[in-house]
Amino acid sequence: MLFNSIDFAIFLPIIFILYWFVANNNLKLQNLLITIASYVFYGWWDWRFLSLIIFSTLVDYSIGIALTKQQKLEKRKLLLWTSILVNLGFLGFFKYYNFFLDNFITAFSFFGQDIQASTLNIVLPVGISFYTFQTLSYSIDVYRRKLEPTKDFIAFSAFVCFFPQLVAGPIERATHLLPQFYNKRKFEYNKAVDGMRQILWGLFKKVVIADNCAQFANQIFNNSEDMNGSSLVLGALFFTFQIYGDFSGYSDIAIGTSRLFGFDLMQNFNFPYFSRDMAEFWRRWHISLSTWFRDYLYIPLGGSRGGTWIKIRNTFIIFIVSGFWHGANWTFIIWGALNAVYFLPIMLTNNNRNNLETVAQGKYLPSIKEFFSMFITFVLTVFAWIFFRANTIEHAVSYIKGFFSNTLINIPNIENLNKVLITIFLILIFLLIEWFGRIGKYGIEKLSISKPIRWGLYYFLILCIIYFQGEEQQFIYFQF
Amino acid sequence: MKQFIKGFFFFIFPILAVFCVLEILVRDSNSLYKEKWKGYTTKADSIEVLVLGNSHAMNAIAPKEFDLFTYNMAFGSQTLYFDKAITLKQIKNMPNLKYVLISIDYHSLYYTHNEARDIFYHYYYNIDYNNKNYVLEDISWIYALGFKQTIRDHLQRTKANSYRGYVSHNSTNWNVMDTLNGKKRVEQLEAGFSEENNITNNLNSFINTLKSKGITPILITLPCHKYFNQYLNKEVVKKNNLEINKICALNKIPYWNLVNQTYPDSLFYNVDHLNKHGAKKVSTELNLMIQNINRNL
Repeated sequence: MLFNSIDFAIFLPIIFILYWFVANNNLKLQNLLITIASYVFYGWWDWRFLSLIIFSTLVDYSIGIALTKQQKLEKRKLLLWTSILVNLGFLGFFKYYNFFLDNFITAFSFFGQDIQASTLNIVLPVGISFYTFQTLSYSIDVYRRKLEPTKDFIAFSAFVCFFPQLVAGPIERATHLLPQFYNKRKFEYNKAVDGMRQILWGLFKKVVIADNCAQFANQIFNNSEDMNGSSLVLGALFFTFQIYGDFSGYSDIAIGTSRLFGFDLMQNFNFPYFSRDMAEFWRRWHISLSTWFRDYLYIPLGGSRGGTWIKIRNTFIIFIVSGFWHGANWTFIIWGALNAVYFLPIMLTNNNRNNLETVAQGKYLPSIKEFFSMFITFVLTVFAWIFFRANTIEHAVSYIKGFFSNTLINIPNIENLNKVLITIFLILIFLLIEWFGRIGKYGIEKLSISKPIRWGLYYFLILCIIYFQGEEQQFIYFQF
Repeated sequence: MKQFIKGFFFFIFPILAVFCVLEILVRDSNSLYKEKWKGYTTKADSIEVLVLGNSHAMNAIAPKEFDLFTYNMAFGSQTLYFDKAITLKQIKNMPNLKYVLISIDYHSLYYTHNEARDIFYHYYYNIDYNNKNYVLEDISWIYALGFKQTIRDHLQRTKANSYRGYVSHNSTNWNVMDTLNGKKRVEQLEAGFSEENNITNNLNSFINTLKSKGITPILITLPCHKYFNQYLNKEVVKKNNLEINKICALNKIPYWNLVNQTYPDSLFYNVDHLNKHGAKKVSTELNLMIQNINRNL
């Protein structure tokens, strides 16, 4: 079920009413309702894959219980590895089987060995990368004794499949989300209003910004051979805003929806395109994944302790794994490696924690230095997104080559230039709102404007959502 | 909670109010479908010749050129499924109906329906493709048609000035009269091809029903420009001819193939549609052919 669908518009109020009016004052019933609603939400897409979620839930729940009873380190390790292997096994099979098989065949044929193996027609279950990481965090934290394992199976099931963030995050830690299922939830007016506001902003980002940009990004990337230089630049820019609007829009809707049910999810995006260096960008982009890798991979590998080579190795590992997490394609690996290359000089010169506060805090405009830092970071990001979006590495290289021609200053040869201009105008409005709202957790959270203007802005956003909505596109991150 | 619900409804009230007003306006707005259906139902008892088909027939067959009372119920992208449904829905009210001209064009045997247009048959003709359910679309026309399209297109429709369902193009659009547009148009049609045996079966059953009521079905293929004809897939054309001749032989009905009539450019609107001058010419010819049959009966 898509957030921007009529199905969800009917589903959400029904669950909201049942949750607060029928199951209110009964924590177990509320958790059960969330679990059932989440299974319906997921099964709406493909009910067959519900079995995967349920199996994963059962495995990690049982391992959690077993870990409490087990004191011997070796046996505890064995239990942890069982959880890791089961979860990553599913992920590996559904997401990476064909990739590895193809690459093995290519590698062997390179050495003159012909291998006969056929790839499988595997459907990737939506959200598998997200809920797998979420359940893994539970087992690892229980193993590390950072979290008491739960005996409440319903609460644990609700934690694994919580519908707002089930299919595209934020990837919640068990230490943060699971305890919220143990405590009685009380309806809070301010929290609910804030949730609605964040849903509205998320819908604007997804339906207006991402879906409109998608139309042109797809047109340009799919026909890049026929596009002139200026169109290719525009294509990369459109994709840059598409992926941000799409993914952060989804996160906003997820967080906002959770707030309607009394839950707090972690912030997933923090105005990443206003970052002044790549380290800041990675503190602000897909925060739940970056911090997951930091806590469960980077730090166990030694983090930034140790010598320069260890730091370089660990940085490359974390970025490449992060890239590979996005999809079974070399383009994602190059995208990850490229970001590691961007990040390393900052880290090796100990400048990775320079820009911790919000840019130009308390000012309307950034300084010239801040502006140029943001601009350079943005350009580097756009460049890396080309690899992320391209179908193959050759496609990305030929796309980039297309920039360096005398057609760079020509009028873009894209169909429907009027709509291109409207989309650019909408992006500018979006950036303006984000700039003035950058001290909040999302664009319109803390705009210091009077109530009538604020309401006017909400109506304007609704009008844009209705009038300027782009062709419906599936959320990009569903495929990861 | 009360405060939240109150605030929510207070906030969405203006949106709902605007929505309701637009909903009323769009349901009341004019459309060619509405116009055609109104004429079709109010003049049903006078109709002697009924014209069916897609835009080729809608723009090419001018009822005023016929001696018998003719009504043109062809429409852009209309398929044989809807041709049949439109006729059968009113057949009881057309006691004088003698001839049904069914336009079979290059693509007619490969199109079951046009999804984007199905809703108009539901709204204006009360005909649902394969009994499709339109619950949400009935609740809100704006939802079905799209908000932007409602504002941009549907609310601004003026009267189409159709004459007994016929809509004409006044002159030739010289900007699109070339081989490139001919090729594009053929590609556009071929892109939507689907192989469905049901189309022919449906046509056969439609012909049988008409014949059982003493009505003569006539299959026709209307003239298209050579810029268009030269790009037609010869295999498809051959298959079409075989299929149509088989249907006609089986049912003993006439087939008038006018596709290769060499009309001057000035009679076309574009590569596959006639303008009003072309319509006059072809309609006069069709009228003569019908008169011939009438005389021989």
